[in-house]
Amino acid sequence: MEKPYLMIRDAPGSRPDQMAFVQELERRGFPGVWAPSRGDNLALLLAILDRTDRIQVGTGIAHIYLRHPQLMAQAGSLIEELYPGRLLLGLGVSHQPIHAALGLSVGRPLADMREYVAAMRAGTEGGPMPRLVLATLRRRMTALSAEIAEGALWANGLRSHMASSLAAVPPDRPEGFFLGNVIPTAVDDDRAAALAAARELLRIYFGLPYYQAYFEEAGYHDEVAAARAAGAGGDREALLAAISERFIADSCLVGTASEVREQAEAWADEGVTLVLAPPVGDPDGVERALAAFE
Amino acid sequence: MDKPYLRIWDEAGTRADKLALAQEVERRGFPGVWSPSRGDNIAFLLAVLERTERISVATGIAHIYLRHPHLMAQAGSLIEELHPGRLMLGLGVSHQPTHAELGLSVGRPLSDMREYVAEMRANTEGAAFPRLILATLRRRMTVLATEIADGALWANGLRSRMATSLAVIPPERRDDFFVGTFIPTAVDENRAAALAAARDKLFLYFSRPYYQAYFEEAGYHDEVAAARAAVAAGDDEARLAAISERFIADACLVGTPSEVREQAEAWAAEGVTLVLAPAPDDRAGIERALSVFD
Repeated sequence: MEKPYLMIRDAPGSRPDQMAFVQELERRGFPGVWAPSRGDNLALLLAILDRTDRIQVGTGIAHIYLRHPQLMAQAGSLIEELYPGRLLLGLGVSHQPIHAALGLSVGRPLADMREYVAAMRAGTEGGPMPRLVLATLRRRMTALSAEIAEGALWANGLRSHMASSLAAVPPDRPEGFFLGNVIPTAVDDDRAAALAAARELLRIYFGLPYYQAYFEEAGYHDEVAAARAAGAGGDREALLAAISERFIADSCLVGTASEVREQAEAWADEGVTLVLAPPVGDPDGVERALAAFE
Repeated sequence: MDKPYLRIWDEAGTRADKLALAQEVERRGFPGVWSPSRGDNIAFLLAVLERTERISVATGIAHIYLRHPHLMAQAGSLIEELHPGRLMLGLGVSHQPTHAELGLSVGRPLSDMREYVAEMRANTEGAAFPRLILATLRRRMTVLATEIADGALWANGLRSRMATSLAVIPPERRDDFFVGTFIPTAVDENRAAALAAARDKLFLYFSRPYYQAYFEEAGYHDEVAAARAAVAAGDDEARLAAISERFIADACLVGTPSEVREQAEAWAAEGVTLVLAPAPDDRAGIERALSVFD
């Protein structure tokens, strides 16, 4: 089985260490890293590309409301020109609570994304463009990715629902269309500990309306109803308890190293490239996740 | 005399050459490069830093309306952490015609800048942070720079006006407060050719209201009146002709190498660090400008 990608985060105060860590990942034969929208992830990934030789990098996501499309286009073009073929530029509309926290006023996700990508493609001034990947969960954004981009990226995608989601991508899609999923990864021989870690990783998503709609679409009505009830009361424990073991098995890599490898193979059968998202700030958890694939 | 900085910019299709030029600037003992807002200049300068050892880099400017302040803050913090002390982050509000072209709706320059910098600083509290420089021309933005930043940057600043402009810097800040200007630099033994190149470089600015106000404030009433009439008539030749030799001598480094060195010394005597903007901005023009200071 091919090794998965790893999600890393821009970590103020430990950035040189993080660069060294990614160089180690390259030596260990992992294909690359993705970075979420926290910080300036394009700048972070540029530094990583300059300090490595082979690995690929991706933004998951670059937040379209934080950069003017021409700036995004030029950043992508710069990186593509200096490191050809090594960047997947994942774009996303992010989520309403984040917009509120950042003071952003936004429009409708699909229309905004379509317009943004068009402005980007018009704004490269003849420079090369990296592959564009749209962050998606539901059918309409997935269909848009097949129309205007070169890939689609889920985060916390549900394996049981992928075939249904991928029906939105036409079978004649271009060769090399990227399908990826950022997957919570909790490797632990102690099953209770693995499940607890997975629940922590999933918890914030159960509070986001767009995720709730996706989870319901995939049939997890009870979980979402319980999460909505817990969310309204702000009860963290109730929110964690709303996340069933069946849901975790469908959305995470969880369990012992051999169980996790088996789950990853099932994802590969769906044609989905995995980006491991182990617990943040837990180097041992990250190391166990990586070691499961060595 | 200290060597000046060089203005280089991100341009699709030439990026490897531009990085090589920055490396050459370092080998030849120049202090660094500044990059204007075209492209993603922060990412571009990060690439420059990755490939050099010693030189400083600066944005002149990073356009505040193209990036959310948190993104700007984190980009600055990332670079400061990876390359301590080597970035000066020059911020600017840009100009109305550019806003119109980019579809931006903006507020009032001074209050927007004040709020933007406060947001940046709040977002990076406790983290590494580069020196901030504000792009300025007139008194109020310069006063704001002394209040919330670590320096001020002119572009096409007028030497005869600098003492007046700098009088707003409190004496206790004079030692550590950076003062710089982008200066059109036309080095040519043929005086007519040098003047023509300088006029070409200044041409754009004579159409911009904020520059017109600054030039008038400095006493160039006839030049600005003629330029306004030429812009209204759509007469480019007349706009070039509006730029007097007296103005060029005040705003540019122009003439033979020894004349240019002498002019640069006069700027140094005003306490202003120069960033050469070669005219023309091709390899030959750049080489003539650099070789004056080798």
